[in-house]
Amino acid sequence: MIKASEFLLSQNQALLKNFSELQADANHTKPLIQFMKGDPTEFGHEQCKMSQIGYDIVKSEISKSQNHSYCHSTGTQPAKQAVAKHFGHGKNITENDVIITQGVNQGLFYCLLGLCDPGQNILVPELGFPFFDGIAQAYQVEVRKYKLQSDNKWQIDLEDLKSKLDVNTKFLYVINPSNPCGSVFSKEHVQEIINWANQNRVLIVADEIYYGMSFGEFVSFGELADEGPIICLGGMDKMFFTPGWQISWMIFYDKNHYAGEIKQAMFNLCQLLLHANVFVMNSLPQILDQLTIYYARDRMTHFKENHDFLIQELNQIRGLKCIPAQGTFYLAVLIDLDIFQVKNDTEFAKKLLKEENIMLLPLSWNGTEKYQGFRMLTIATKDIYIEMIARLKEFVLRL
Amino acid sequence: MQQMERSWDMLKPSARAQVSLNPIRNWVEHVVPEVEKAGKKEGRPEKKIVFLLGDPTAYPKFQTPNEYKEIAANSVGKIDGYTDFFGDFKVRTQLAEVLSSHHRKLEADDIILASGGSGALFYATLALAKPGDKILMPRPTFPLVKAFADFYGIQVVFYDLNPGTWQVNILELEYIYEQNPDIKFILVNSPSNPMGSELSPQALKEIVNFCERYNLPIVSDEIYENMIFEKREFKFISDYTKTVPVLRCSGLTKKCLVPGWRLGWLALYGEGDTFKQVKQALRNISNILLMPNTICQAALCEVYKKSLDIIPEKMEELHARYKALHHGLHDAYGISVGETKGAMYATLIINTEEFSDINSSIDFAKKLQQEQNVLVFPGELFYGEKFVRLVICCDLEIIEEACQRIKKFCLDHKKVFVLQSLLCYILTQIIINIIILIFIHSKFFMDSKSLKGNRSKKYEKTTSEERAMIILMKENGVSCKEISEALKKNIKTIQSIKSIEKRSEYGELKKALIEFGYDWVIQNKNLNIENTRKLAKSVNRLIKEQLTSKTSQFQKLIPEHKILSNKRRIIQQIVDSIIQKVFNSKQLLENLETTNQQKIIPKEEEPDDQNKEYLNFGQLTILQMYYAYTQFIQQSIQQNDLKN
Repeated sequence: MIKASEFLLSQNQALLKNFSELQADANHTKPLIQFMKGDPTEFGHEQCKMSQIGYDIVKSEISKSQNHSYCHSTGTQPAKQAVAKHFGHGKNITENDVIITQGVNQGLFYCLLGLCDPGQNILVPELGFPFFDGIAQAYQVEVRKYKLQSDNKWQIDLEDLKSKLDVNTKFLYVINPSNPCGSVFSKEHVQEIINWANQNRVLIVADEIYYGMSFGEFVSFGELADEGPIICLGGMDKMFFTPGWQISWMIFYDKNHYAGEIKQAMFNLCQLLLHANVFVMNSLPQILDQLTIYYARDRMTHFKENHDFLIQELNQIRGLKCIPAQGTFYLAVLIDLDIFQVKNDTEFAKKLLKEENIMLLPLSWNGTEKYQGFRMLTIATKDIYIEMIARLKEFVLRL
Repeated sequence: MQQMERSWDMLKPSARAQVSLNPIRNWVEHVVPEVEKAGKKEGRPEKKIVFLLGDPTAYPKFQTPNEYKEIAANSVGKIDGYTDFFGDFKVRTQLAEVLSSHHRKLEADDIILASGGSGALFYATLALAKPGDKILMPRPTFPLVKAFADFYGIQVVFYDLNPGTWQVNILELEYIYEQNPDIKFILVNSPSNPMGSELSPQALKEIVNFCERYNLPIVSDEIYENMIFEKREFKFISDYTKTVPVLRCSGLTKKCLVPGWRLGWLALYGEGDTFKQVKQALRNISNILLMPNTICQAALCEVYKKSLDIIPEKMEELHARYKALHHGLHDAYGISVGETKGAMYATLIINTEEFSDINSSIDFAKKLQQEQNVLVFPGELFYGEKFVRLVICCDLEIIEEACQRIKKFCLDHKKVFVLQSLLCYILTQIIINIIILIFIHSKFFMDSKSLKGNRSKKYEKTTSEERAMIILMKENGVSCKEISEALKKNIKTIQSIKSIEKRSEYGELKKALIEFGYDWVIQNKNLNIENTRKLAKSVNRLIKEQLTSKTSQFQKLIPEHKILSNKRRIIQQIVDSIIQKVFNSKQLLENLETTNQQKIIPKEEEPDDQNKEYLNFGQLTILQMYYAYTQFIQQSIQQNDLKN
């Protein structure tokens, strides 16, 4: 056996070990119900699908010869212009403020590589998509968790945030709307965070991959950007229900050019892993024009119905407590460890899988032990939920 | 409070992201526009001829075939969601089948899809080497893996390909391995970018045997697989071994003429659980960067299979272009066309000595752009020298036109030998030879004492504080004139201080390394010091290692601000001094054998005053020679005058 590099072996190890230990039994008497991946297309629901218009645009772009060539490392001009146009929010954003990345993950990867030197730290929500948790250590960057108020729509605890900040803090990472909480910040709260960051001279990296996916209002960090720089990450992944296409973007809102050098460094980084798929990139202008940035927002009723149904049903089950979401297709459900007689949510998930063949993502896999529970997805059809709830009830009854 | 200290000025990128990473992309995206801005020569041809990026689809004859486009269009909507981050299981199963060879069957598990061939190389590099590790790479090379390595602090050890044939020198590999037994893998690239060369079956066998001996995995960059001339069958390096683990990095990019798709893969060839740990590492990285575009994934296998029929005819087209280039430049001045057997590149080997004002291939490339509007990549981007790379996908007429322009360009820069300059040249040569002879004779060698002896009186006139001040100001970009005004010193003084301090920056390091290298040569009985060329090569390698190895005791002697700079010139100087010292001691030895031992005092033990005497004697002789030389020139001028 050849030895692999410890550098890579150490990354994401804990998370992947968890995943490998949660394996379904193919011979289980009950059919598998699975809510692991944050992939809205998984259940093939017609409300969670790219429109035929979108497919046709991509097909027509494929027929053009120039869409199969290399392009600038930061993306093609039409794509960058389209993103600047639709997400500029009147802030004078041009194609020079945009990078097209292969998935938001790549954007986050660039933020880590391009911004942080060893010994520096980043501020990350205590419960959130655990991108940095698994890899920051390998780059000798400290991940500092700031508190969220689970009883107050998962808003950021600004007092706590302040206590985590020091001179070595490189950026504040916010996820809005949030995976796995399903929370969406109000305009006032977004403004509060931006004010805080401006006062304390902190760069905001706003992960807005669930852009617009709110049951009510949604305000992008880019919309309220003023004094200080904000990097917004977005993508087609969830907005157009095409996570497999891997077309995302990174927008620099920075009217005072405080982050000019950082932008240049990001451009350099793009030369390392190069650009995304060109024909999909060049479909972006037409897709954004025709399907608009509200494509997902206009299809939220499906998620909202499931969300309300799940809260109503799950809250009736002893030991489960849902924390209502304001958007996305996620719902955080807390479990009472005493009632289920398990030491943590990982054990709960394993037990549930073994007994009822239901596979759920434990909340503690999102980088914190503080919240014990699981992440529910509102992407499936009602019959699946009815079946799942029946099994859960049986599971509880046996206790 | 600490928070008070934060300011927007602190918003700096990480140190590693501040350097430009990919020399190729940098040349296209930054250097070319700069050269264009710097001004073009009058009368430059209007039409631009571009031989830059290895993108075949930029040329009419190598556009993406419609068959491929149709397959892709039919794949739209098949997979919209996430696939396994290694790539869709079904797609990998199919590809594994296609890539299985007669002696090794691949499973879906052995295939990892990545974003382009570059993505596959990124995965392979990081999976095998961590920061601080060493990897072995060919030179010249496609610079991407070097860029990854630099970014992550992985050390690169180069093995030089034989210029012209671009084959591997296995003895050199052995030597390198001896010096660096901790190498993590060897990178092999055939057909090659930038040379378009192909490793012979003999070379492939030798590499495999070498890797077998030392348990070294091979990372094979096969982005140009199957792309060889004359419809020959392409042999993979993995075909020559059953035991050596091979990580085959490839992609649809070039062979299927779809660089914009960004679809590549890594195929792991190894017995049993050879790759168990590597797969784990790859799973970790693919969990970070996720899978490539799913539309292309769905189209992958069908396109790959179809390409097996299309590639040979495309290669015939490329061969015709290569032949045209070869023919068009066979009588060009100062350059020759390198051997190309596949891929889509050709090289022009530049004999810089035959040109008046072209000292490097960067020079060649920039001037060719300014004067003839022909854009090529200089060899330096590929860590080589004295060649430029051309992409030969353009139409035949354009190649012919380019040949004409290049030929003209070469003649425009031809070195002019007139009688007088020839005379001067010969005279200088003679004088230099005499000086060298004197130096050898007086057993002179450079050390700090001699350096001091050479220093001008101006240097002694300034205090050490003043000197430090001058250097500091100089480093901050103040001109000599401004310094001379500020310090009220003669401008000549400032200039000479600057150059002397600059010379002695490496003084300590040079001295130590010369001692070290000399001892190494003397102790190493295997070296044949009669063969100066070979000796110089080994010494060069030794010094280079000492300067790059982090564990070397000499690291601390490198001036701090010079740590990152290229030390090629310094290495050359050190090597020259070592050789000279060895040569001196050899003469010394011979003298010892033939003459009275009493008369010879080893240099190191010489008292100071004697040293000065030697120098004075040397200087005197040089002065005498120079006097004779000026006399000669004056005489010839007088004769000319008389004639007139």
